[in-house]
Amino acid sequence: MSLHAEIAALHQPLLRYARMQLRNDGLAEDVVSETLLALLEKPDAFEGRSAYRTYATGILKFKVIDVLRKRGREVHVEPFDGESIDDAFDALFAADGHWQEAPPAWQEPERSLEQRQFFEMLQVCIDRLSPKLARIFMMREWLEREVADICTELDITANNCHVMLFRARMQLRGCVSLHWYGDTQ
Amino acid sequence: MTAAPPELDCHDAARLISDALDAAVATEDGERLRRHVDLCESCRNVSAQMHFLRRAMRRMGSDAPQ
Repeated sequence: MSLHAEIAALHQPLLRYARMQLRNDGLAEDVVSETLLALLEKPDAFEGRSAYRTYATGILKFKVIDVLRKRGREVHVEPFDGESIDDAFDALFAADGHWQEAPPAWQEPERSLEQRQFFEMLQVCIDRLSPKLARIFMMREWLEREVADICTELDITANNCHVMLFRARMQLRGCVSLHWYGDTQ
Repeated sequence: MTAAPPELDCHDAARLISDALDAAVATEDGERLRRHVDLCESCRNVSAQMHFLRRAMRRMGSDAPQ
């Protein structure tokens, strides 16, 4: 595959991540275009498709973080006003705080990291989170931002941030359990 | 003399497992969590799964298989 074809093939995956974070198609297109331009300017920076994609994603992350910092508090994220507003979430636990159904172990999860389909399924599960949960989860786990930075940027309390991350992780593990491991829990 | 803090239930334990991925938890909470997870297979599973999701997310879009 030629360099230009490789770079063109990165456009859609990068755009998807940028959109999820920025929630603005124009801004997302801008950061992806800047990322692809940066790749074209240094075509010899990396060899091999996997490394190239890693390199491109790294550039994109920096650009997304930069845009988020500039936008700062323009972005309003509604905080959770309590921990008991989500019936599906609450149904995971009995009144005494124990699991309604014991979550089973995932069998050989590390092997799934070698499978493209696993990451496709994971993306589908992320897409099923509410936009605010998906955004905060991606800020923490994909952009690897510290919670303090996320709180400042989104103008929410640390406790709210922790609650949202907890809910996002619980929903994702439930989705992955169901759609990858075939568990109902 | 102060009373020992109550043991965690699974809901509290799962929340603390998540919190510990983002910030240091108080020593006392960390000890209560360890005691709970030592005895609770379900929460051990959930802990392993939350840590695994982090590893997967760090690979997403970079060296994830094409």
